[in-house]
Amino acid sequence: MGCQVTHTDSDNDCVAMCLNGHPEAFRHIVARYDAALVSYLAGRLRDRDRAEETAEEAFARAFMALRGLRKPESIFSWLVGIADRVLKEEARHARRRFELTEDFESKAQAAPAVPDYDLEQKVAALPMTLREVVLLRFYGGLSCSEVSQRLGIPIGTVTKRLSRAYENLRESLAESGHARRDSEVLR
Amino acid sequence: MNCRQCKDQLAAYLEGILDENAALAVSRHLEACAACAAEAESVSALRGRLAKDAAAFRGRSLAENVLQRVSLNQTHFPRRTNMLWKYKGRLTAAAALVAVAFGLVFLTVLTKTATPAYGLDQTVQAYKGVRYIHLEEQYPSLPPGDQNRQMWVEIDENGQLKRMRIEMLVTDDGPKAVVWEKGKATVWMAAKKVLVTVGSPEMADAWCKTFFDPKLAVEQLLRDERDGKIEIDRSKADDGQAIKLTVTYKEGSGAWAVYLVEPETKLVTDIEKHVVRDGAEIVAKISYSDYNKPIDPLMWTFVVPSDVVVIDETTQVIGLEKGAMTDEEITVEVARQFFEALIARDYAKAGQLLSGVPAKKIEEWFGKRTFTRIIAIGKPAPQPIPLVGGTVVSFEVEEAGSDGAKSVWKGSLAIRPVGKDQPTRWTIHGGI
Repeated sequence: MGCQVTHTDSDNDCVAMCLNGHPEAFRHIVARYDAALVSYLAGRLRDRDRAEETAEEAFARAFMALRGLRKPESIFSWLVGIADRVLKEEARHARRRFELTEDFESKAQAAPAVPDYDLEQKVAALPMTLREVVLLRFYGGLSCSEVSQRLGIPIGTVTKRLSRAYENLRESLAESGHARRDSEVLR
Repeated sequence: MNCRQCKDQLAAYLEGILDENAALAVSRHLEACAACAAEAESVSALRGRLAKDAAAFRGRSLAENVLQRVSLNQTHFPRRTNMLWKYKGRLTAAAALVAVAFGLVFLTVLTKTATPAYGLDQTVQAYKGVRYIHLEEQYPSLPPGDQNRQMWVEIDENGQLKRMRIEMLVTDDGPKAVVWEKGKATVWMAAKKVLVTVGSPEMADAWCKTFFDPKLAVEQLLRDERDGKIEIDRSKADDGQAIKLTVTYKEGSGAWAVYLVEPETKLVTDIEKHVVRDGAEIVAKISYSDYNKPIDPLMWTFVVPSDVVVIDETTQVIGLEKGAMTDEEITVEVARQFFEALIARDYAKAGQLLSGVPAKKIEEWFGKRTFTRIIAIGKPAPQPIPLVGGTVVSFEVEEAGSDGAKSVWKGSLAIRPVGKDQPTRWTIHGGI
């Protein structure tokens, strides 16, 4: 009987199924990582709608490039890499647009500060190994043991990285808080 | 426990994954050490902030959008159909024994057999346990078109079609996907950004008979063989594994077909049909796979962008009542009322006459233009494209530019009955 991919199947199985002519298996990859990828992009872009569009583009490209994926166990960092390239391309286009139109529109529509872009930005700026763990644990909604399985690292390493990430985030958030206060004083 | 150790354990402690003793040691240290307690509180606050922010990203799945893109655009992965005659099934010793046992039971129905263990009845029997099928249909002898499609089918406990999804890459409307369930078909046209629901109770029957149902196909073979209409040659496929049935029709139509049956499951994996029509041979290849692989529930819905035109012919009143009018009269009337509505900027009415497109969308399409009068509506003619039905009619409408300059908008409209749900009402379905 046909094989079946479930939510608990490894990324490896999903990738194998996609390559075997079952593109619907890619759904599980998307469902597994979309929140983590979108939040990372929201941190880079400070714009959730654009983050979603970019993530969608990255997933579509990833699908097309699936054959080139060497290590399915590191699919999330691979996805982040693709998303980074999409961002770079978009930034190039945006610069051109800005030169032409001055982009008044987007300045006028700067979104209200409801989303926690400060936090997302600091997460996006973490070193790759720490960032990955934070994104999967919180935005991807995985438990520590699930993160450890997915990344193929011991659970102790997961908590160590989380611990370093917390320290890093607290420092960088405190710094930007000071910076803001300083500038307020200067004004 | 000292502060350094506490710090090392803190992340695991907050995750609740430390064992009892270790957790107790951390919590005792936190009670005793104000500095570590402050740090723990600060880390907790950060975790809370992360969790709160993360919640905003949940429940907004990209899966449907991405799948829509990749499944309607992907062409470069090998499809099963490409492997049509390279069947790779393996007959295990145990399965062979089972097959032989079945063969004894059904020995009476066997005629010419190269594989004496198999009879068509077994396949009919085997399909009783099938709930899910994925199939792909291709016509290599024809140019690419909507006859090349993939289908996912769910069958209920009584063997009746429960629902199906059909995806076609190349159609006149661009890539198209259809989900049929409970007598309604919802059609998603990604390129046109239109999602339309139509009542189509007979669709299930028609599609089962014509396309997907391998069980019906095998039952037909069985009847035809008993009636002496066909000859079935049973042999092994080129790979030496699958059961190959070569069917020839005695009546001299020139038609023939090949069925491949998986020896273990007795289910059909491939059908290739050859028919001669108007002197040309048409080849149809259907491959069946993923038997009983449950289909993702998301496959039965469409999550579409918010700017899509959504039309539901089963609930919305569409078009104009024909009454005692002839086909020609109703055509002219629909066209006239449509342009009058555009002139009066009555976008709701224009939308109702144009397949039920929402007023907002009509305004988006036509709101910037100013129409001043109908110059002419031509004489309706029957729709020339077969199977579409209805009529086509030409029109000329006067339009004023922003500078007041007059111009003429010429074109033609295709008009026909709304469909099974509102058969006496006629609507514009294309041509603008």
